[in-house]
Amino acid sequence: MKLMNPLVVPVLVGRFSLSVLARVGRAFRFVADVFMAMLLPPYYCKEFARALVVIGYNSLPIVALTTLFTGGALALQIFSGGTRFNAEAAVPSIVAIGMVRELGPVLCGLMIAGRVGSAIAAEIATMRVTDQIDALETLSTNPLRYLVAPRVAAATLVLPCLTGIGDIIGILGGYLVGTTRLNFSPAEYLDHTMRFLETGDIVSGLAKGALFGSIVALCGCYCGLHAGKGARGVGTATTRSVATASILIIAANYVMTELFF
Amino acid sequence: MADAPRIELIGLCKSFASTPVIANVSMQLHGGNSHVLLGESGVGKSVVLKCILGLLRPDQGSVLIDGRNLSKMKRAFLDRSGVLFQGGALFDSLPVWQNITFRKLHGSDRLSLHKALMLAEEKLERVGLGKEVARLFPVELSGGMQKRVALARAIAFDPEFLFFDEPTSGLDPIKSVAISRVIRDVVQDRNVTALTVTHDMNCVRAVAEGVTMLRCGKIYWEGGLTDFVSNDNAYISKFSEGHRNLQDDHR
Repeated sequence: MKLMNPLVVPVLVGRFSLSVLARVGRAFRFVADVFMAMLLPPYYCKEFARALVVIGYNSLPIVALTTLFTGGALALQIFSGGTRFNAEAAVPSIVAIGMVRELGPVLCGLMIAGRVGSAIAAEIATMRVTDQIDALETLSTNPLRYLVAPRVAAATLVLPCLTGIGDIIGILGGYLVGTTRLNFSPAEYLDHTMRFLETGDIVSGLAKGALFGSIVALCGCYCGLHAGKGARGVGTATTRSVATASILIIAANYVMTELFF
Repeated sequence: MADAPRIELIGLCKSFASTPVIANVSMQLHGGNSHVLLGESGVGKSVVLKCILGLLRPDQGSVLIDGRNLSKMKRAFLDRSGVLFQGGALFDSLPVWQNITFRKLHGSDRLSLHKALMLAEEKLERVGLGKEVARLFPVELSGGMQKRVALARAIAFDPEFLFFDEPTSGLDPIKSVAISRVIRDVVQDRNVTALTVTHDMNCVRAVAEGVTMLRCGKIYWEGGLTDFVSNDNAYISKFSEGHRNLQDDHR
């Protein structure tokens, strides 16, 4: 019987490790290049304004609906759990803290990853496939400055705003459920909401939003720029962008929570 | 003494996933000369073009522009170049006039919007399109019109170097002739250095002064157009007279 070469497994592990390290290195290099591109002129203000509208304004309905229903559901769940140890009165404050510190930024990040990250990846991947990225370079325009920097800057600025709006609407969802279904008086609900909410809660939530915004835009742009050929390449880039951004958002959320704990 | 070449390729080699695409490609392009890079589909013509433009880095060899290495003056070279891509590569999100004048819509030496629009309309007329096309978006144009808009973009700012990647592919014979004529006229009028990548013999006859033929990623033949057309090499004459049949045979 022929024995397997004992070096095969270490060689395979080594190759895999090198490949992973190379990918991570490329990604970090990309992030560094993008931040350099954001700092140095030329600045493409029109592209930036367009990205603000697409990422921010156009995402308002989806963020509003998601956080409204989540706030309502959260109020019901906390009430249901709270009744078991006479803590029903904590519903407004837990809804507020839960939305502001955790659910607002995470939900906004995930919804924007699905709606905007995929669109960015698909647009840039299509440009890659149809030689538009090469055309940009031949027209003396750096694609990182023209395509990537405005989108990353816009997403980083807009996500905290969307998170703030999502927080307010989520608390409103809890308020509507609390006052109509759970027999809270409006004044009592608002009083409990405001009493326990601290500035640090709001700041940590908005900071998470900014980080998640940059993650979404960076993933979309990176996957788009590194898309393979043809329609399949565009599809794969889009899927990869959403999956990567979602995982990174969840992981970054834990890290940020540890930092603000 | 012959003029120094404006563009010189020295021993270019490029592989993708360890599959060699071009091997030891060397050629020279002289000022005011319209050169054609010819060959069957997939022999690496566009790869050579992308290496010249700095869009692909060759595994070996170098590209010299006016005697200087491309890597040290890529930006300055591209500022003086116009490129027509195979599929047009127009920006979908911009109207035609902004596509044509894109190079001068940003940066310190930008044109006013009015001047940019006027320039775009002038260039559109140059390639046989009406002024009304200027305000349309690329998706509203036919394939032939997109190609002509891309040609207008390539010639918009009177470049010193012009590169055309399959300028007549996907066009009907009448449009092909029209595009080839525009290319020939621009090259002659402006005395630019031009390289056209194509496998269309009608285009070759219309625009070429010098011809380089690639086969299997290597240079197979080089010379003037007259020598190429009258060449009795079996492969070349088959290509120049019945290149469509040859491609069918290969398939």
